Amino acid sequence: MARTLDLGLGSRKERKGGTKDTFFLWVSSILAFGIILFSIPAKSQVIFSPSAVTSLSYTGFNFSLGVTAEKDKFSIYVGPKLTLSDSYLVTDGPFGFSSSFFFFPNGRDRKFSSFINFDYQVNFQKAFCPTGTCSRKTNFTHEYNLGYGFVYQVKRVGLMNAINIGRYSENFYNQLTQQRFKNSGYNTLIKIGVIVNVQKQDAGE
Amino acid sequence: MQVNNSFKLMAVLIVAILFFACRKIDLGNIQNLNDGQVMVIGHGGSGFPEFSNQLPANSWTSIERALEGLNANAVDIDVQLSADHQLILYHDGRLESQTDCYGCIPETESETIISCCYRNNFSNNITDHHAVILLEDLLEHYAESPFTFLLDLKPFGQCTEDIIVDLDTFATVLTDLVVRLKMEDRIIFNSFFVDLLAKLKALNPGFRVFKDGVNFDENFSEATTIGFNGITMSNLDIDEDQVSQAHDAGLWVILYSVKERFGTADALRKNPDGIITDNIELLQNFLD
Repeated sequence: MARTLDLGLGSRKERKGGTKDTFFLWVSSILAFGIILFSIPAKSQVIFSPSAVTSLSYTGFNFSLGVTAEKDKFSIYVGPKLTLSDSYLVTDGPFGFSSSFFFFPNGRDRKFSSFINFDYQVNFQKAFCPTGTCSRKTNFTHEYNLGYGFVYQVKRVGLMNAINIGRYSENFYNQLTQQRFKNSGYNTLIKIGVIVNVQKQDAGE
Repeated sequence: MQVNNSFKLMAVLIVAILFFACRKIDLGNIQNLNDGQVMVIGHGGSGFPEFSNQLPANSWTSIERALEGLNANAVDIDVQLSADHQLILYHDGRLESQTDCYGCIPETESETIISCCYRNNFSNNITDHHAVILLEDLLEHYAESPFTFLLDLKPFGQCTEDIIVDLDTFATVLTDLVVRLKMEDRIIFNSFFVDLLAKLKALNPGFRVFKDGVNFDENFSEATTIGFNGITMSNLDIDEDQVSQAHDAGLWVILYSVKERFGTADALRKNPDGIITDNIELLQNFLD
C-alpha cells in the first residue's frame, strides 16, 4: 500500500491554532443561530430556559447543562458538555460545548410539538502523555448532525427527544510522532433532554 | 422566583455530579514487570465496533487511529492464514459475518480476501469502505515505528470443525515475516494454541510469546512449563494475587475484556503489564 509514516520528530509542521479554530467554529455557529433567531420578526419575545441534555453519539455518552433561547417557531440551545464515556474523573474532562438550532414547523405552544434540528458539538481532551513530560496539546472532535425530534410538554417542563445523523471529524495530537492525525466519518446522534420553561404560560392553559 | 428555583436546581445537579466523581487510583505504585508502566493496547485497533465506534476491528483506519491518533502503545490484531499462505487480519471464523464475501480464511486465496469489504455497520456501507488487509502490508508500513503489535494467532476455520491450518507453515510464515522486518522486539505472539506458540518459540527463542487462556492455573502451568514470556487473560478470570504469582514466575500479564470505567479501574488495581481495551481514551484518562 502506498502509505508512509513519517516519524521524524517535527518533520511535519503542526497545524496551528487547532483549539482556537474549534472555539471560533463553535462561537460562529452560536452567532449564526442567534442572528437567525433574533432577526425573525415575531410578536413574541425571546424566552430563556435552563435545559439539560444527554446525548449518545460517536463520542459516546455526553451530558450538557445550558440555556435554551426561544422565539416564535425557533429556538437555540447552548451549553458546556462533559463526555462521560471517556472520563474517569469528571473534573478532568473531556469537556466540550454543545449547541443546537431548532425549527418547530407547527409552532411551539402545544402539548406535543415536533421540530427539525441542526446540532453541533465539540469535544476537547488533553492528548495522552505517557511520560508525563509532554507539552500539553489538545485532541478535539467535531460533530455535525441534522435530524428531527419532538417535545412533550408537561406543565412547565418540556421533555425533548431527537434523532440526528451527520458527520464526525476528529483531530488528535500524537505525542510520540509529534504529528496531528485526522479522521472523519458517519455519525448518529440520539438526544434526550429537559427544558424548564420558566417564563411562559403552561401549554394548554 | 421560579427562575431562581430552576437555576438552583441546575446548580444542585452540577454539584451532585462533581461530588460523585471517583477518586484517582494510585498509579505511582503499580507493581509489574514493565517498570510500573501499563501498556495501552487497542483491541483490534481502536476498539471493536459499536454505536460510538464505527470503524471495523482489524481495519487499516482503526489501527492507524489507535497508533498514530490516540498514541496507544500497541494494538491487538487477529491473524489467520489464507489458502495461499498469506497472513490475513480478520477476527471471525467466516468472512460473511463481517464482510461482503463468503467462506473461511484458510480455504480462500488472499487476493480474494483483500478485495472483501467490511459491511457490518451502516457507516461502512454508505460513506466509508474498509477492506480486509494483509499483516505483511501493515508491518512493512510500521517497520521503522516504535509501536508494538500483539498478534492474536487463530489457526482455525469454522468451515470445518477441525483445525485445518498446518501449524508448521503458519509458524514459518510468521517467523520469516517478523525476522525479515527486524521486528522481533516489537511483536508479541499470542494464542490459545499451545502447539503453535511452542513452534514459534522453537523457531526463534527470542520471540515474545504469550499464552491465552480462560483458566489461570492451566494457563500459568503451560506458560511456565514451555517457557513462554507471559499470559493473556480476561480481566474477569484472574485476580490480583494470581497476577502477582505470574510476575513472581517472570511472566508478563496482559488483561483483556476491558472497556467501561469500572472494569478499567478493576484491571489497573491488579497491576498488569498491559491492558487490551476497547476504549483507549478512557484508559488513557486513568493513566494520564
